[in-house]
Amino acid sequence: MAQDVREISRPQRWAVPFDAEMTDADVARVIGLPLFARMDAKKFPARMPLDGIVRNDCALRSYSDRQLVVRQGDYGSSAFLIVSGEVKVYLEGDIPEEELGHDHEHPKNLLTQVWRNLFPPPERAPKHLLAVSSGDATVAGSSTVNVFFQDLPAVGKRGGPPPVMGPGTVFGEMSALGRTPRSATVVATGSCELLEIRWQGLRDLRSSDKGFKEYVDGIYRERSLTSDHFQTSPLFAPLGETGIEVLRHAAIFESHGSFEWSGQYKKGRQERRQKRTAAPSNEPEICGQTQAAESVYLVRAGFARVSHRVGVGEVTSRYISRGDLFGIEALHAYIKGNRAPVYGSTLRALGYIDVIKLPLALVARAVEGSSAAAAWLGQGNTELLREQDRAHLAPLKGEMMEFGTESRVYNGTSIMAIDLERCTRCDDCVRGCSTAHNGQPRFVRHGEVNQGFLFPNACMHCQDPVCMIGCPTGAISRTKDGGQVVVNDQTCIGCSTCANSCPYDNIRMVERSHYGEKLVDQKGNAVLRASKCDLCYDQVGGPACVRACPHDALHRVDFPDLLTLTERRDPQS
Amino acid sequence: MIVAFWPRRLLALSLAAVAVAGAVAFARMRAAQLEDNAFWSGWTLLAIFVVLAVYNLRKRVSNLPLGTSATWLQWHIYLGLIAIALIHVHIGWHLPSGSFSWLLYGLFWAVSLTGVLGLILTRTLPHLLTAVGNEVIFERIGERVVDLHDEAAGIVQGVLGRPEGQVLAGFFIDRLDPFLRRPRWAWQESRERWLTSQCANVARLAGPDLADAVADLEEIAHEKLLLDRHYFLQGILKGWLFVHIPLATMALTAAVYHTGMVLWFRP
Ligand code: SF4
Ligand code: SF4
Ligand code: SF4
Repeated sequence: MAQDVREISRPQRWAVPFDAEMTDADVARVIGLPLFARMDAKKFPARMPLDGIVRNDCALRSYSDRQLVVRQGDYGSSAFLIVSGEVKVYLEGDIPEEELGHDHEHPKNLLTQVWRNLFPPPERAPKHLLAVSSGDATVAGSSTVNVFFQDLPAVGKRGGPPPVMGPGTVFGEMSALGRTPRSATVVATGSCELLEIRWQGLRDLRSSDKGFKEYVDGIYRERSLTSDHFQTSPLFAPLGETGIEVLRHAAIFESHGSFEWSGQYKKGRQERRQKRTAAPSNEPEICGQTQAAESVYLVRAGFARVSHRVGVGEVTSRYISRGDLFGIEALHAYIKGNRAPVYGSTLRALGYIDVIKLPLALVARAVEGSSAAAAWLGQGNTELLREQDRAHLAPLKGEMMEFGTESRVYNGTSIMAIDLERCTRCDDCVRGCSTAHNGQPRFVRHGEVNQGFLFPNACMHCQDPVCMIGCPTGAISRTKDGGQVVVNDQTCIGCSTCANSCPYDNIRMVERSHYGEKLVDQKGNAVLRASKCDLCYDQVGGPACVRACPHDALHRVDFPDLLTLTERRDPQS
Repeated sequence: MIVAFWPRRLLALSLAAVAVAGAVAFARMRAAQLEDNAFWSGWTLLAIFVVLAVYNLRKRVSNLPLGTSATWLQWHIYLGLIAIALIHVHIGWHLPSGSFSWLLYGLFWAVSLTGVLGLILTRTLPHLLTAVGNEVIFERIGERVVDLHDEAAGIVQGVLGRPEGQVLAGFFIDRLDPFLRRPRWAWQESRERWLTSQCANVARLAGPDLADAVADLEEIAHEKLLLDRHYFLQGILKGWLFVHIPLATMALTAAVYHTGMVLWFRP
């Protein structure tokens, strides 16, 4: 039976502005602010003009005294410019967790779940989409939260009063650019007005205006050095604030690889698979195995591969990510008296990485002065060496490490791995997913197989969700509380950018319908929307696929747990 | 969460053994006091039957937070084992008397045996399937086989213009076409050797110019063989449920009828 068809205008990037209430006067006022006044509007492409970005990707927001602006730990995809007034910055631990009151965007409701399970509602297209041609629009999403604090600490964790930021300052850029959780809590002091720039706008402003790019990148680097990475590192934490301050002064911030790595990776994937033993291409070397060690590296964001040369190829012994250190073996050797150590393994950027580089001799001196840091170093080094040996000795785990690094599965925080030795291929998992999503499963039990595990094309909720990079409307974003990467059906315009950006092909574009009517544009092409696993973030009980598998064959794990699963199988471990 | 299977199995088996030992000891004690065991054991059995049957319904609402399907399956298995002991407590360790009792007893054993068989199959066949490789979804096997058939026909058509092409055409019509027409529900151990020797023969007759075409046909035939193995093994894994579930439904219906009759005619 032929499906009914309904014609609508094809949705465009700015069909749903960030704030529908931005008036011409607001746009003019924003463009008059010093940061924007310095920009040359003529340098912006005609399809993405400066006033268009301000009108559609920015929102003016008013805050009252003690109102929360951003909360440490939340995922955010926008940055802020202070238009007037001031805000205070509180670091982790400054405000008690219970007072921060993390909110849940989608309250889980069992009754709704039961009802929808029994009577799956028909698919409905968002109202604004159906009315695009009449100019009807809704707000694409705001990060304003109505949380007010009664008592705020006068003294921050580091001893002094919390830092204050005033007009003209930009903040929130680290989270927006790095796709990472907010590193601090920001609270309004008195009344203030902020300009919220969603990440797509930030990207376009950066790419069209050199001055803005330099300014934002500069504060990004500066803040990366002053944020809490040292305090959370087991090697540096025992050094205390004074010891850390010395290191911070000597630290250098470096970025390697490309921030938008997914396209390059997808292109090179086939080539890399064919030459598995050759040195990995497209992975910039940060330090070489035989290179004289001069620094210790602390990872701020992103991933790197640690490998050794074996024969004509390289064996991956581990990968490192946010908070990990590289150069431990060399540091250990230096302290033991070898004044010219080498790194002993190669470090390569996987995609994109931000590192903090510290002089080896200085770190060695600091560590020698702290018995706790020295003890950690001894133990950490032994563990590392053991880990490296195991990469050779435990073939299955080693294989999985190689596979995970090669196919960048390590990026996933919730990788779907089906143990084929237990899976009866019954597809109850797919049916479970389908039941939880109005009869439309979010994955197909099909994908790459390695070491007896099947990796279906289900979103892995990456640490670095590169799918978010190009989304013009911000429809694909992280949930604030759990950090799951989800697609907002209301604002997805079906441009396929996310599906093309996801390096793992874990997003499918499906046809939109409205009460059974297929939606097409004026040219008769189907209007699409992105569909992917949402980790059942709005379902009571968590992932339906895991709960539906009768044989405990389906796991949702991060990469270290995946290695543990594989190791369990290894006859030699 | 990564589940460790052996400790779980050991714990569940011990608990089931304790439950069975408890039920047998309780029945003996009552028997020694000349008390009836049919009533309590009958109701317990019926309750177990219902819980066992509800598992199938629970699968249909798997997104509801009613415990994981894996936990339900564990209960299903061990309650099923307990039921085997309990039915004998119920009938006093004698064989049933009367045709309906025999029917119920027979159905019960049929369900239990198909259940145990299913358990063995679900624990062993996945290994074989993994060893076959070439992961494929059961419902897509037919489609893939049609594709393979078309690919093979295309290869043969492409060489028909050449004199040696007739060798390939003959091979396709006589051997490959029937083999590639539809999925076969068979393991076909000897078919692998047969295919290799047939292809070697055809390669010799078709000459070096068509060596690539023969190699492609051989690859297609081997992929089809692997698909058949998936069809066979996945077919068994799906098929046993078509025996177990109807039998279980019949057993449950008979048990409910039996309970009704007993209650009706109870003095
Ligand atoms: S869609 Fe792709 S890139 Fe995005 S979070 Fe999922 S797996 Fe990662
Ligand atoms: S977590 Fe939920 S949405 Fe994702 S694959 Fe599993 S059932 Fe589907
Ligand atoms: S439910 Fe479990 S056993 Fe069945 S197909 Fe999915 S992973 Fe395999």
